[in-house]
Amino acid sequence: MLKISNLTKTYKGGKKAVDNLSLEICSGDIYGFIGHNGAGKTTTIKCVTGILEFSEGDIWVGGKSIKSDPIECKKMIAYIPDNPDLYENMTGIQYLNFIADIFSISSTERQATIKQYSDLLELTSSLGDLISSYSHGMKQKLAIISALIHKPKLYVMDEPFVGLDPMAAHTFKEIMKEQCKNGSAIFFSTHVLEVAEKMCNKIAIIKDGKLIASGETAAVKGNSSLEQLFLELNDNE
Amino acid sequence: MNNLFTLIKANILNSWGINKVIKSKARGEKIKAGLLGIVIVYAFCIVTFTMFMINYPLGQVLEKLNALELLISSSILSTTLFALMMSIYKIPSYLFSFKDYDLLMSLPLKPSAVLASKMIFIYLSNLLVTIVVGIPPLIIYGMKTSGGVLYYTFVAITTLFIPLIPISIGAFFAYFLGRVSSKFRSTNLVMLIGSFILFISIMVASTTVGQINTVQVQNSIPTVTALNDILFWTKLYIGALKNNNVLYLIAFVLVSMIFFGVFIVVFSKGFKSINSKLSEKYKASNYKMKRLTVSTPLKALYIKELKFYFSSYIYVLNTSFSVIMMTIFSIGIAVFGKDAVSKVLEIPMAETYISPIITLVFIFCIGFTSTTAASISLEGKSLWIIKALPVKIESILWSKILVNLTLTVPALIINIAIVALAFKMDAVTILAIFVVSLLYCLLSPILGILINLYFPKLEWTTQVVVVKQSASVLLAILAAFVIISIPVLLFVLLKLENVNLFLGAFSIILLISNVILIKILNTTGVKKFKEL
Repeated sequence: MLKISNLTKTYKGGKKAVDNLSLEICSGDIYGFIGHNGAGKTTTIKCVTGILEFSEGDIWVGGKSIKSDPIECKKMIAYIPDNPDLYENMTGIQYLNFIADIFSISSTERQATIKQYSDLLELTSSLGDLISSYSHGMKQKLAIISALIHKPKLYVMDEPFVGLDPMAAHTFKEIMKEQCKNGSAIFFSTHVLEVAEKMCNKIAIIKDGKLIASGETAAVKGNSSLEQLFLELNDNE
Repeated sequence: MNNLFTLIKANILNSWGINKVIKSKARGEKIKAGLLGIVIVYAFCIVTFTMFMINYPLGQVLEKLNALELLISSSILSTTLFALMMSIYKIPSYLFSFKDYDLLMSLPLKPSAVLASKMIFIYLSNLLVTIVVGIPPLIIYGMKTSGGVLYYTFVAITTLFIPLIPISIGAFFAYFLGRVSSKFRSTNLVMLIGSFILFISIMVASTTVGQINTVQVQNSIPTVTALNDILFWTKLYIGALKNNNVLYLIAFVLVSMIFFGVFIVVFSKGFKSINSKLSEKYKASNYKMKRLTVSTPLKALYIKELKFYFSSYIYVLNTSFSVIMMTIFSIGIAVFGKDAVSKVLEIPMAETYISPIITLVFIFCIGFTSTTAASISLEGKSLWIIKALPVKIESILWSKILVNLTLTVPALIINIAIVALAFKMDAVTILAIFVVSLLYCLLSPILGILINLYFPKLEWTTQVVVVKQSASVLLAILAAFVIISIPVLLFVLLKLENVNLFLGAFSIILLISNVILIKILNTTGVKKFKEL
């Protein structure tokens, strides 16, 4: 579903934020992306979603290159950023409707999806209010619902649990599992190693832009906990 | 006091992008900053030169009338009105609902220190304008009266204090509007209507003052004296400079400082509460799912842009004012006749040249309605949304251009209809004005968005930094001036007789320019957007 081949992203000034990174995510995978602050997680995610251009390598989504066919790739992707800076001047429902329009979702279909997930995340009653009146968690919930509207094949999420209350975090995990059962793939970054350990069938650890470990979670961590492995890898490198 | 300096420094670093120039290792950034610096210095030189050119003949007339001190009046009244207008424009965005409000209020700072830092920042930007607008008439006065070192020392001291009272008055109006609008659901609308009324009132007042620069100087003396009586502190200023009077100088400085200080003390008491009220958003939390309308991606992007435009007080105020002025101009011609409008605006309206002059006024107003010059920058931290959407970049850019066209094209049609009826124009003339203006309606936003793509400013704490002070907006205004000046110069130099032929030739140049700019937009523009 997602193939990153030798991705290198160099910022102005010459710093390599991502250095020759390669990984592959298949349908049904929940793939955790772990690394310390500034390791290159967000840059990788922004390259995958077509937000950032990159100098070397390529990214393939459903067999299509984000470089040469960005629109088709983006149609298959849903992106949830770490800090949901949404259009504050819109109401929640106006924002969701805007996203549905962009993805050309029919009126009945968008209504059903919005109702289903906003009820699940307990946001329906607030959808008529301005986004600027929302709390961080509510904005995060709205970003999640907007990501689900077009039933994407690939979810790319940057710290998606930040700001969610325990109930919403649980509901969201259930939604993620359900989406994967239906054939979608999930690629998300997190600092919460417990979540990655419990939820992800595959993980990748990034340090200073380079991938230092990746593969099946069980195989990567072996007998130690993910936390131990993460600390060891960061110390050793 | 230390906190105040720290806050002012933070404001300057944050808003003027100094760090970006100093710290950036990229050569392109430094070149961009250098070019912008040259443009700003050039603009300041042009304004200063223009002020000299306006005030020198005025000085000659006043010398004959033995009323040279009116040059000092002209200086203080023009800087006061200018600073007042600028303050009404800027202050609401600086003092209310500013982005760093939560951050600053969470710090151990007195609200008065936060308020003072914001006001001093406004003062600094006004001071530059005061120097450019106010100093030329004073230098001419100095030349005519052989003013010595003492006179110029007095000029330097008083200049530093001139903006204090106008910005305090501007802030008072903004405070009053803020208080009223915080009680309404549509705070922006109330602020906008209030600001437009105030702004138009000041414009009307300034056209009266503007007559001191004409041959009817003598008739204007009572008006100027009356204004000096109302704005009582200006009399202290005139007294200080006219006779190099130290007592008047001290009185002017003290009055200005007391005015500013009292405003800070009084306003700081309500500063926190009014900002808290304005930050409280209307919440109904009673939404029930209903049928949702479906739009095409381009329409959805356009609606999103339009909603954003009308939600931003400073954006609307800064870009739609020219459209309103265009309509006032046309209605003025229809109601009062061309001679009255020509006299007020000081533009020649000879019967033969009526169509190019009207076209010029229209395209001048359209040029100042460039919403696109700030539209990319205003995406700010939400830029990721449009960048992640599966839509062509061209559609994103055109949705922003369409918002500009929504403002200008209907206004243009209405205004052409008004002037066509007023002057009983023939079909060819109407068509000529319409085609030229319409082509310029298209050219202006395309140019604006291209400039913004080259000079984006995505990190900002208040929209006013993008809408009023960003490089791209300044360059778009400069570009509008250049585009308007070239045909005017050609028309004057070539002494053309056939105005419709001239408008036809101008429209062909505009058409070719539009085709080239669209091509650039679809290639370089798209590339630049990807790089953001």
